[in-house]
Amino acid sequence: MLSNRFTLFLSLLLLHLVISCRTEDGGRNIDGKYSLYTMNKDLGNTIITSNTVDSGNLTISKNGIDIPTQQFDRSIIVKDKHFYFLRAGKFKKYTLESNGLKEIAQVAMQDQHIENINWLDRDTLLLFTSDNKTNRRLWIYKITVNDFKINQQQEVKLPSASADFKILSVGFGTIHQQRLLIGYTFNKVINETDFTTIDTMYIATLDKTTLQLENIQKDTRSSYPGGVNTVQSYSFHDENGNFYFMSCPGIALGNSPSKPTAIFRIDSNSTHINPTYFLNLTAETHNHAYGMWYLGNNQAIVRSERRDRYTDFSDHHSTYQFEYYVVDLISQTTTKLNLPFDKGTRKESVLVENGKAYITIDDAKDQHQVWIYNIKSKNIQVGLTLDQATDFIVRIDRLHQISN
Amino acid sequence: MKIDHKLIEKYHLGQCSPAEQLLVEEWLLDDTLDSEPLSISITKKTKLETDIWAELNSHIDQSEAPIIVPPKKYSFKYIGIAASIVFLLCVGFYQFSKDAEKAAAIFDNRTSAGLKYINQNSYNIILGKNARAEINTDTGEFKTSGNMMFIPKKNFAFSFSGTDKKKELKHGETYFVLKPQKNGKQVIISKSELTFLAPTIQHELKIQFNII
Repeated sequence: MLSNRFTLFLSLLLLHLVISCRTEDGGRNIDGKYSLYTMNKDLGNTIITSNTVDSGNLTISKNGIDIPTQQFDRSIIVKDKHFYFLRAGKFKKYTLESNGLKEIAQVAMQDQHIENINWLDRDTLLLFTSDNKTNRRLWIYKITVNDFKINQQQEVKLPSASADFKILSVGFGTIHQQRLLIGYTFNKVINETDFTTIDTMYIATLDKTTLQLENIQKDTRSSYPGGVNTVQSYSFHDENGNFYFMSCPGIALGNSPSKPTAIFRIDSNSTHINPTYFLNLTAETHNHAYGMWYLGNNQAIVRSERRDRYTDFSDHHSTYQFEYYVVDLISQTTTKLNLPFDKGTRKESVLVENGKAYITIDDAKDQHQVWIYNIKSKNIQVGLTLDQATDFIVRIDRLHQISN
Repeated sequence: MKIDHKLIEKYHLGQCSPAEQLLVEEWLLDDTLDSEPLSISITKKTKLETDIWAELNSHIDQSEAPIIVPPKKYSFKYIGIAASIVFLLCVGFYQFSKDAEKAAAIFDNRTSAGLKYINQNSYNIILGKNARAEINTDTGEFKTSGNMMFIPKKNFAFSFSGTDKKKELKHGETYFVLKPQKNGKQVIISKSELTFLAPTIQHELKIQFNII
C-alpha cells in the first residue's frame, strides 16, 4: 500500500515535470485579444491567441495551445475570454490556460447538439438544439453565462413539412421586432453519403418570452436558410435594424443545388421576409456560397465556392477554391476581392472591426495568413502569418470583447 | 483538506502552506489516513483491466485444470530468471502470432443490420450494416461494399476502387471508407475531416457508427 502511494507520488511528480517543461517555453499567450482555431497537419487542433492580427509570425509548436480533438472541435463558442462547448450531454464553460482549456462550469443537456446560437446580451445566450436521436425536434435553452445557469428550457413543436423530410436544420434565431424569429428547413437522408433539402425555407415567429409559436412563413425562392452559426456566420442586423440572412442550398449545406444561393431581408419594421428583396448571388457569381459577414454601410462579405475546381463533397474541403466577394446589399452588385483561393468547407474566417475585415486564408502555397481588407480604401495586405504546421485556420474570433 | 493531484503539484512547486506540506508528507508516510482514490473512473479502470486481459488471453493457452503448487520461497535471482524467460516467451509468441496473421483477409457483415467490430494486429475495422471488406496488407488492395471505419495501427498505403493512386492511411487517425460515388471513386474521409461534411451527413455517419 505504502509503495503504491510512492509509485503514485512519483508518477505524479514525473507528470508534473513533463507538464512544467512544456509550459516553461514561454511562447504561449493565453490572453491575447484575438484567438485563432487551427486544424493542423499532425491531425491536432490548437488555439493561438495574439494581441494583434495585423502583423507578425506565430508557430503552432511554440504558440499553439493543444485542444484535444476527442473533446472539442471548431464549433467551439468564443466570447469574453471564455469558451463554451456542448459534448456528451454536457454544456461546459472553459477558460484558456497554457496547457489547454480548463472547465469551470457545466450544465446538463442530455442527448442534444447545437443547431444555432444567439447572444441576447453579454450574459445571456440562447441555444437552439436538437436531439441526437431524431434530429427532428427543436429545443431552446436560455443560459446566463456568468452564473452558468439554465433559466429557460423549452421544446418548440414545429409542424412537419413532409413525411420524407424528417431532419431539422436551424439556420438562424434572432430577436427582431420584439419577436424571436427562427429560420429553419428539413432534410432527407438518401444514404450515408447523399441527402437533400426540402424546396422551402421556413421562418417561425415566437413570443420572445413565452416561446409560444405565433406564425410560420414559407418562402420557396431558395432553400436551407443560414446554417450552423457556431461553425460559420450567415446572418446579421444592419445599423438600421434590417435583418439579412443568406440561403445555402449548395452541396456543403443544403445539397439542393438547383436552387440559387441568395440573400434575403426582413425589414426593420416587419417580421416578414421582404417578398421583393432577392439578392441572387448564384446569378452574379454562377456558384454557391456559404458564409456572410457584415462590413457596415450596406456592404457584406461572402465566401463563395468554385464549381469548376472541386469534384464532389469528398474533396470540397481540400480544394483551393473559395473566393471572397464584397456585396452591396442595396445596389445588389458583387465585387471579387483580390485574394488567393482559400480551402476548407465552411470556416469562421472573417472578423470585422475598426474599418477592416480580417480574412484568414489557407492558400495553395501552403501559406496560412490573415489578410486585411481595408473597407474604405479597399486596400488589401497581409497580416499575421502562421507556420506550415497549420492545415486550416478554421476560426478567427475576438477573445476579449471591445468595451462599449 | 484532502489529497489530490493539485495539492501534490503544489507541493512540488513549493507553494504549499506549512499545514498542506505536513498533510502531504503525512499522507506519504502514513498508510492509515483516509484519502480519495486516484481519479480514474471505475468503468475506465475496469475497461483497462478487461482490455489487458483480453489481449493477454489471446496469447495464452488456458490450462485444463489449475495445478496447485505449495508455496515455496525462491530467491529473487531465480524469480528474476523465471520472469525473464516468461517475458521472452510471451514476446516471442506474440511476435510469432503477429507474423502468422494472414496479410489477406475478408470481413463480411452483409447479413447483419448492426455493426461488426474486428480487431486485427495491424488495424481495427468496424463494418457498417451490410458491409464487406477484402483487405490485403501485402498488395495494398482494399475492396469494399457498404460503409466502414478503418483504424490503422501502423501506416498503410492502399489502393481503392476508382483510382490508381494509393491512399495513405496513417496510424493515429480513424477513417471512414464509404461507398464509391456515382463516378466509381471511393470516398475516404478521416475523422478530423468529418467537420467539413454537410451537418446532415456528419450526423448520419455519427449515428450509423455510434460515435455521438
